[in-house]
Amino acid sequence: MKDGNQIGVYICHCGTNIARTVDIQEVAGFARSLPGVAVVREYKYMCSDPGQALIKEDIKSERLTHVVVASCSPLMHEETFRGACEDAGLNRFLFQMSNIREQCSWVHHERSEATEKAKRLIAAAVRRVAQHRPLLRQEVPVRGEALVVGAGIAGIEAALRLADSGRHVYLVEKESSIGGHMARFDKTFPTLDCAACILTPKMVTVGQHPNITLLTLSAVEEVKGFVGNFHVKVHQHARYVTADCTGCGECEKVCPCVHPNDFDLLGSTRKAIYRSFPQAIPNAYVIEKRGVPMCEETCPIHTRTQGYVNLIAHGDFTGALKVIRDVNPFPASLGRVCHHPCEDRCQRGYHDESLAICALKRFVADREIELGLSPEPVRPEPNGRKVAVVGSGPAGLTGAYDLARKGYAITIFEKYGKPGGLMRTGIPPFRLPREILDREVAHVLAHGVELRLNTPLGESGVTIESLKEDGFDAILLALGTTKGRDLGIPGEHLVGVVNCLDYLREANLHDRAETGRRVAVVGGGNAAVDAARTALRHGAENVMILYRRTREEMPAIGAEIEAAKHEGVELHFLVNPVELRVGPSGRLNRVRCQKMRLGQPDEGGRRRPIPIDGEYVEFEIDQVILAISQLPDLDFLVKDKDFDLTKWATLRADPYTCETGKLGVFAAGDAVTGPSTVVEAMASGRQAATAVDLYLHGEDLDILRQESHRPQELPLMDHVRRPDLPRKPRARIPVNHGAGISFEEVERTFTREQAMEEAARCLVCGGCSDCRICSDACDREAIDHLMADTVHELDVGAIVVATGFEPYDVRKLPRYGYGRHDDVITALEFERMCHASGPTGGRITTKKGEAPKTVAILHCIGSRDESHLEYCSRVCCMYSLKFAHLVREHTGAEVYNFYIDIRAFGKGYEEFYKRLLREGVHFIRGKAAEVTAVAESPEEEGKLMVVAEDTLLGITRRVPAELVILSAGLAPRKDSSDVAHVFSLGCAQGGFFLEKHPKLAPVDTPTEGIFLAGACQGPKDIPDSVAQGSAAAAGALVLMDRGKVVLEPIRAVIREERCGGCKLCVASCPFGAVEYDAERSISRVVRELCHGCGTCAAGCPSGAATQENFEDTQILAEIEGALAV
Amino acid sequence: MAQERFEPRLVGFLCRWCSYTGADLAGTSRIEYPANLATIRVMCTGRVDPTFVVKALVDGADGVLIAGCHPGDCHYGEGNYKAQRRYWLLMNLLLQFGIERERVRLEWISAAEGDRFARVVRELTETVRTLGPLRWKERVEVVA
Amino acid sequence: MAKPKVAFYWCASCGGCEEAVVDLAEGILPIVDAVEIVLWPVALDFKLEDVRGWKPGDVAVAFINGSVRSADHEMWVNLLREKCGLVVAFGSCAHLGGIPGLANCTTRDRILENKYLRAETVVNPQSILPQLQTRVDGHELELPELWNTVRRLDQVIDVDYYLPGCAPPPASIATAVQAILSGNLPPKGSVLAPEKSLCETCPRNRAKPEQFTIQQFRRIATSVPDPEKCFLAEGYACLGPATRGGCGERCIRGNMPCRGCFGPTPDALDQGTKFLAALGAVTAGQTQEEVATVAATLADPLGTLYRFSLPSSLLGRSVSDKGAER
Repeated sequence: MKDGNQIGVYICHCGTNIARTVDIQEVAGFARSLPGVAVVREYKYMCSDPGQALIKEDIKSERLTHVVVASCSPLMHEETFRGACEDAGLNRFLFQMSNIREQCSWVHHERSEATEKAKRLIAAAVRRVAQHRPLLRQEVPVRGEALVVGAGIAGIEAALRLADSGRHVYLVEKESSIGGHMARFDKTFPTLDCAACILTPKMVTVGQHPNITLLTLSAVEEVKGFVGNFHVKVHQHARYVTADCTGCGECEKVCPCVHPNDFDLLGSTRKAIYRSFPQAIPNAYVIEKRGVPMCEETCPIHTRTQGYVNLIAHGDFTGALKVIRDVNPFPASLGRVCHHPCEDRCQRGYHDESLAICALKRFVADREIELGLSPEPVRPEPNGRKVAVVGSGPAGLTGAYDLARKGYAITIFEKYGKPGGLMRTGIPPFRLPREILDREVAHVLAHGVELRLNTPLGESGVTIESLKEDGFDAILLALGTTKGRDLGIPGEHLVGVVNCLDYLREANLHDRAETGRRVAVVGGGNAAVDAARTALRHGAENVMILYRRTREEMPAIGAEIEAAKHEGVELHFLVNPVELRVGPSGRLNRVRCQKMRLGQPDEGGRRRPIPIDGEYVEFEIDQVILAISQLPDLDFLVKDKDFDLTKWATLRADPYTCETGKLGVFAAGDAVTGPSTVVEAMASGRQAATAVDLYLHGEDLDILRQESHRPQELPLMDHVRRPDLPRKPRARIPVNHGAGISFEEVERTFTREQAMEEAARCLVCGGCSDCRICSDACDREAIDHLMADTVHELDVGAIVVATGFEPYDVRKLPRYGYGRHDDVITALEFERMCHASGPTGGRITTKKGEAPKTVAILHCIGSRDESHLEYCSRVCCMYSLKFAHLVREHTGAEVYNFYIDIRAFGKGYEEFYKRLLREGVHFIRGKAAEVTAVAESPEEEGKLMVVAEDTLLGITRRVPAELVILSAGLAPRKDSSDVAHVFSLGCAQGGFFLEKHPKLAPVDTPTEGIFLAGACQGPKDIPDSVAQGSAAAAGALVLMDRGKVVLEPIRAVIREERCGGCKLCVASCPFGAVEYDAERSISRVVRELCHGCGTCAAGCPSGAATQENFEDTQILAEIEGALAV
Repeated sequence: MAQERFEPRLVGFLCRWCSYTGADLAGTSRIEYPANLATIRVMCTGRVDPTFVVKALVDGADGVLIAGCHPGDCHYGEGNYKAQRRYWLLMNLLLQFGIERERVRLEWISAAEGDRFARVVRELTETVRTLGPLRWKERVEVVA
Repeated sequence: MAKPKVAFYWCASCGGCEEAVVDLAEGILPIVDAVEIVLWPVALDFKLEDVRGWKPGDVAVAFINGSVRSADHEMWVNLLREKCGLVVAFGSCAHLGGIPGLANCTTRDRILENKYLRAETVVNPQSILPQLQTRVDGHELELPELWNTVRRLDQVIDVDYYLPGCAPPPASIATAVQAILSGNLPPKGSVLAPEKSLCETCPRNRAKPEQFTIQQFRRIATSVPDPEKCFLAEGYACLGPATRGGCGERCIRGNMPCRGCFGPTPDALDQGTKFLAALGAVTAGQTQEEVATVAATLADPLGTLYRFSLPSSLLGRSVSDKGAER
């Protein structure tokens, strides 16, 4: 305690608020006895002018050094009295307030106890204030911009007020249009004027206001800084439609994707590109994209699967084919031979069976052929650069296709007499008919691609050097695999042992393959299965596949394995050939196999086969086809030291940029990756083509190294929206076993109807199918499917939070039958129902489409209910009355309102209630107990009955109703706690934001500079929300017009002379406001960043850190005081 | 002779944003609770140095309340978490000094929970009343 | 003129402080030249009667080490206070209560019981405990009463200066003595050591990260600290941040976390709770369970936080006799 203190203590009666329970005289007497106290006065209302005058006079006449006022809460009047001190020339922080009203007289009824506590509180304040020292307040400027969050009627009002007074406003709205709930209403109580008519003009003004920046589809992610200087991060989701959109709606017409309409409800639907309602602001359309669906994600060439599927569903087959050909020149071929990973994780599969995507692709392609149409090649202006592609397999052709479509002049060099690589030499015609393949290769060539056949890489053909000399700017090697791998077992070189690739090549290219009677095919891949089935077709009587693992591990496509079994191929598993033996005739006649079992999975995840010692089995055969694995033939290439091989004997190339050791030479396909499927090879070819294009534009290839985003499942679709349809089976050619299985194609294609039905099973889990025909339909070119989200960083002086409410979920009250009975609807659904532009065009009807003769309106659903919402929604009485009127007006039906009390407190509300009584609406006082379809008497049969106790008659009533409207209560938004966290707001009533004072500061929050408006603060009707919108705007304007704010001097201070630099305060500061100075080994507070929480002061182990006006000495003194009595 | 009822002396450290406002709300809503607790306002429970708690106990408090915003609601983000960590370290220490855990209580009370504040004060008062006086200085003298 | 007279005395002491004086080595010679040592039980013979015979102020300064915990200690320190011009609390025990101060986490009876009855090495069939008076072959023998609560020196007599440390480093002893001889003394009541915490001079402070989290506390008894890294950041309850510097970081250099023998910094009211407050910012845990779990890994908080300063802590002692147990 410093000496020479002259402390003045002022005790307020607060009328009788304090005096009633606290003995002021006794307390005053006590205060006089406290050390340092010079003056003690009591007065009826200390906060009044005369009250303050007392203090001011004493400060001057008694030369007071400190002042204590014991009255209400400091949150109430601290500033008032500090001001008084300052007026009288005493530093405003040499003051302390003692809360003897809110925390004493109002909560303690026993006079003696309240008096004793008042003494303790005052003693604490007196001791504390003696430790106070003069402080200066820091003034900081206030920014002129404002942020309004939520564009319902409250937010709109606030934004307009601010904008009209010349401030710039950022208006952030989560939805695609502003308007909030009001935009969905038909009429408004009690005046019954049409909501649209009064709201739309305001919305339009917002849309056109030069001072308003409207950010729809946006959410505030982070708020930093402090009053007058907030720094805000806003995340805006892509709309995929630019401002050029005129809202003509052509896109909507062509969009194939249908989704439930969350705005109109009642089971109505909208397209994936949509506009919530005709008067939406901004008027632009928006596309619902939920992310990349698995079918597209898992496709090696990322075909926009849902795009073409949904076009097929709508009969736009040409459009579908266009989508496919954007990335894939071989729809008909892939439609036959693709291993379609797209079908593995199709969401439809979670509900019944995944979509037959591959077959749909084939359907559109085949249909084109049937109609004799031929695809138009894309041929841009030649860019004058030449690229050589070596190899005409799927990789080479895809590379050529992509590059040609970019304007390069392409020449393909092919080793054999026909193009297609393994698509031709490997895959048999009964899976991929030749005319199909020829046609699609022709389409690639139609892009001005030159093809040179019988031109291998090597002396006999072209070399890297010769190609360079011929002026090719880049070379793409897609050499494929042409050599079969040997087993490395005795007898492998006997006559009758043939390699699968050679065998198939002979069969497929020249249609003559030497085939034995009993044939064993060794291997489990597609090549093996193809070879087996080919052998059958070339006269083998008995064909067996020998595989060292089991069916599980077979890499071959399941359907093909089935087909092979179907055709009579024997499958022998867990056998591994160890020797090929000759018979007496000296010709191959037996294969000896080691029996195997499965061990642990290898890195590829397939279980490794392990020999079972001493267990062997032999098969009678006269031909063995080895289909173990394949290798590229690179003997020529590797003579050049720039090229080298991997340990798998494949060509080494950069996995991202496809660059080989030689500049300008790129490589792709099986020669690099090892054996793969057609579509995988195509993907590899595309990757190389992209690299070549970048390389020839002199770009940095490293951008190709950026990892593509990880595939992630999209949120599951509600499959109720599509009827369960099993996958369409496709016709097969009947198989006759034994001789003469035909070379004709086995699988036939969908019919038109089958295809459309199958395609319609797609759930469009991507939201938008990405077919992009809307882009074609839009002549303003306003649609950008590649638009990205944006993050806006805003600096604002004040923030108005107006995030609104959501109707209580009536499903939580099953007894009212919502979801079970079609004709039980929610209030919001009714609003849409009687809205002229709603789903029924304003017709009030039952689900069957008839006008109801009796309508029941149930008040307080979820409201005033201990187990749901305790509070009154403040609007449901009035809107229920409005509903009653509308029903009478539109249908003349009998209307029954079930209510607890009628709360018609607003201007004109009671009159409206009277009017409804006159209109002959039935009012039953008693909350409805349940809505049931269980009849208790014959005349109740087939009717919905509303059961309630009529508390006026004291009887239970059962009222039949053809339409039941549930007037649901108003609940906080589900995300309100997140919002509260972002803006550091308090919450009450389970999520409504807390105002600073329930009466005197209803739109302020404890955080200076942040205001509340509308139903986010509590249930409200439109007039109140509008009023709050204006009030909040006014609050913000006060700040901005003042132009500066004074910051409480409660910042942390670190006394250098005492700081040992232990850095623990740096760790304890949530705002990064403490920095460590390594030079001087001390920590320092950055004042601007400090928010004054005092955590560092508490946590400073050496007591060097302290907090202004909350110093240890001050708090410790307060503790002593509080316990001294 | 009639047994004089023991009235515990309690000190409460309340964060200005949630709990102190909550205590005021109890007042504006006229929710009665025992007069045993004298509150001390801090900006954040993060400011509450365990030294304050010990100081209060030594100076004659029979119990102490620390009250702040609910987890996640701290006006400064994480002050209440730090308070909670200090609280548990302190509890273990006080046990060794022979001070019952129940005498020092940490509570989350939001600005809207006036009733909760009143309830907590009632409970703490009763708990400490049953534990009996702490009278630290005297007891230390007695065992000295 | 006559050399100033100097007295050394020990109360509840381990003798380490005496060692510290001897550790001055040659440094002691100028002192011995400059002063006349009139009392030094560890080194010189003396008689209580002689000391009683001194006139007040006769002796310039008394260096008293050890904490005060018996009637005999009390008698001696009062006597020296009366006779000596200056009294210097020498070492952690006199300054803060020191290691003997840990007796305050239990009771005298418990201590005697453990020492004379329970200890495994004790054979005491008749369970004899020390008596204040006993007769042995006709002779009345007395023992000074052992207090229940250990006190630091200035809780018993007025102290002019404090020389912290267990034991005080020779260097600071030398400077202290020089200061006293030269007569240019700091204000009464000063602690003759820096005012900043140990971290300022700690060789490991640069290596200390600005942000770190302690998932669980570690003890040197059960794990070996990294000789480069900051102890605290590694999870060892190193009291450096809450302890005065000036010790020469002897423990740190021995790869031993600071145990706080120099006592709290001038602004810290209580060394233990202040350190504990600091831990709040760097220990892990959000939920009550997590937080309680981490807290539980700090073994024996009382002994760890008040190893040298229990009698100086705000609470002063434990009121249970189980304070040593966790």
